[in-house]
Amino acid sequence: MFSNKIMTSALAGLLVTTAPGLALAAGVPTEEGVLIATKVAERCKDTLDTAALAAAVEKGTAIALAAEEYDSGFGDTESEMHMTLYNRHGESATRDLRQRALEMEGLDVGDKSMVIFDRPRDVAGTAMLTFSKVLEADDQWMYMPAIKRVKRISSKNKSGPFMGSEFAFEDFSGQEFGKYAYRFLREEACPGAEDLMCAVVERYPLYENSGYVKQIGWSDDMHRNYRTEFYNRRCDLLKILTASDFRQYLDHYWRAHKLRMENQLTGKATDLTWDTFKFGVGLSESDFNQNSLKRAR
Amino acid sequence: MVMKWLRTLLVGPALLAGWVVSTAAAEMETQLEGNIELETRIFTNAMNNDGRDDPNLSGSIDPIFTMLFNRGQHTVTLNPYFRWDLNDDKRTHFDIRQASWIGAFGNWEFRFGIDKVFWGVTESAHLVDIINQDDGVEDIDGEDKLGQPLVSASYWSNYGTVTLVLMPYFRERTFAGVDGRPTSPLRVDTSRPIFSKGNNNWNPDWAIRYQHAFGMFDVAASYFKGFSRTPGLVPDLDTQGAPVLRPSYSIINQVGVEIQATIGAWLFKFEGITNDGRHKDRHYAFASGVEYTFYQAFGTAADIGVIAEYLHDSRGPNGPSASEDDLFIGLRWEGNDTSTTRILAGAIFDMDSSSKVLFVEASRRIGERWRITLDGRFFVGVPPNDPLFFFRRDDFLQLRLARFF
Repeated sequence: MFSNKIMTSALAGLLVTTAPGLALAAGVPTEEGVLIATKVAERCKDTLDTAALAAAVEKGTAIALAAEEYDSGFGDTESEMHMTLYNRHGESATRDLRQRALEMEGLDVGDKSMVIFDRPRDVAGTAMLTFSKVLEADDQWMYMPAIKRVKRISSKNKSGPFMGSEFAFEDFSGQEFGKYAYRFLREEACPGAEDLMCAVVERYPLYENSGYVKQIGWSDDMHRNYRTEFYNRRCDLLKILTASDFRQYLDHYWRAHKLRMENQLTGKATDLTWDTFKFGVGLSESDFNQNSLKRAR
Repeated sequence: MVMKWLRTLLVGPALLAGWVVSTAAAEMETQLEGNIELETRIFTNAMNNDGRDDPNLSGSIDPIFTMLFNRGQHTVTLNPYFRWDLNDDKRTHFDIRQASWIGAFGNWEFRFGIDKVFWGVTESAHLVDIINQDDGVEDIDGEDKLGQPLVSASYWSNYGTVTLVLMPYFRERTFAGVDGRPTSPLRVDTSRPIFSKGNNNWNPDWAIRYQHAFGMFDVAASYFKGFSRTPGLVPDLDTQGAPVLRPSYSIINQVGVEIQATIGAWLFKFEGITNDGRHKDRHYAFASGVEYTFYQAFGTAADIGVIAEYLHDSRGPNGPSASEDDLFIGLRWEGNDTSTTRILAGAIFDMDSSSKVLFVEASRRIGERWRITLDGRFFVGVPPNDPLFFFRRDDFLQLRLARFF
């Protein structure tokens, strides 16, 4: 009795976005975006150009929407990733996982994804199945291989650490266009690729239980996100995410093969690297149900 | 002579392997999981006069070999299990937990061989979970199971999943021997079981289950017909005239229901069964409760889960169930640290008597491949008519060290 192990995860696929149909139906109108941006700026004591605010919100929203549309249509994807956790003293621990995701067509239907843990070995075989939603809580199930039990779990825990790393669950699943309101800040050289120009866009989570009041992202015109700053509820700069080693797939989709998340307050960091990234592997809905979760390998 | 016998024995599996490999052509992947574990138990009460207060030492090896073909469309899994026990030679035992083929074809899934299937939603009791027999000699909490020979077919659709399971061979429960702890004062004579039908383990037991997840609900309904996995223990004499308990297994019809509602950080759960029991006297039992998790509790990275479940069995305090009118309260502390430290603590209170069972389990990873676990279980105030009465002095502390492959 009472021996199942809770290890919640909302990993729905880094940089996975929903189908275009949903993007046009969701997202907030400009007036609401202006209100949200104003509230956050007051709270965090940021300066705001109120005259140009509506235009900034529209421009930021358009950039995010273009990125969402650019990244959709990939159908399905499969990848293997390694996570290395560093503490303040540089000591490390590794986590290996595999992930597969299915882009779902239709309004209000988010992607389906599955994560399988390979390392550390005492959690190997544990798997999570997630049906993402945009603003509602995701549907999530966990498979515990030692007792072969599938348990439906709460997906409320957005801001908690994923596998003890510096990535929160919402950092993995929070990439759908409809989850944020946006404001364009400025243009400047891309961090880590200074010969390219990046749009700097601030975004505000609209979903509940986020640990962030705002995020600031640098992305170029190919929609590659080089850097993201995460601000916690007290408006402190909490974490900085740096992406590198971008590779293009199917002549279209860009994926960063290395992500580094650095916690500015604790000095800890987590590296996330991808071994392989496959598109169009031929997955379907029958690969994302409780039966396939129990078979997950 | 031995070579010829070995060759014959290997022909079957070789043919099967050949068929699987040839039909699945493309890629084969292999995996090794599982662990080897050392366990030591210290009992805090000496048994009365037969010296059963020695600390126990035990070791187990639990490797899981998996072969995947055609990107996991076919899976062949082999999980032999062996435990050695210092004090109890009945606890030294071998089992095949799994030796099965699983094939997935679109919405269909087929299984053939020895396998483990879990059904249920509650934490303190697993009433609906009937496919596998308890490996009772491992521990008395019903969490360890023996492999079950089965053939099953399952069909998934957006309206739910229907699964049919055929179990041609019945597995009897294992019990601790006279030198083991916890054990009952009368020896359970597993060499002379009583079957209500036939006189061997071959019986076409079967079960069917419908399961569906929609919105916040996960529900399932199941029916099982076959030998009850829970034996009655009948006092008798063995062939030498000494008093023993003989396990008695009856054919039952059991209907089970599972419901879970997941709302924010709340999980609401219900599991209920009704079956016609050993003497065709129908009874019901259910477990129902809630689980709530405080994420990043008290500003730390740790999560704290609180669980409360009520257990009921219509056969009442004089029936065979220890959880006839009981309340379970549990706490789960999940550290979310690099070592995945976790602590579970709980208590089951019998609402009709003073009986309480308290337990705690704490574990953490050491390095990359080791896990250390400390368990304690304590029986308090157990009255003579409670099925746990025989274990009332078997409070123990247990340390386990496992190395994962």
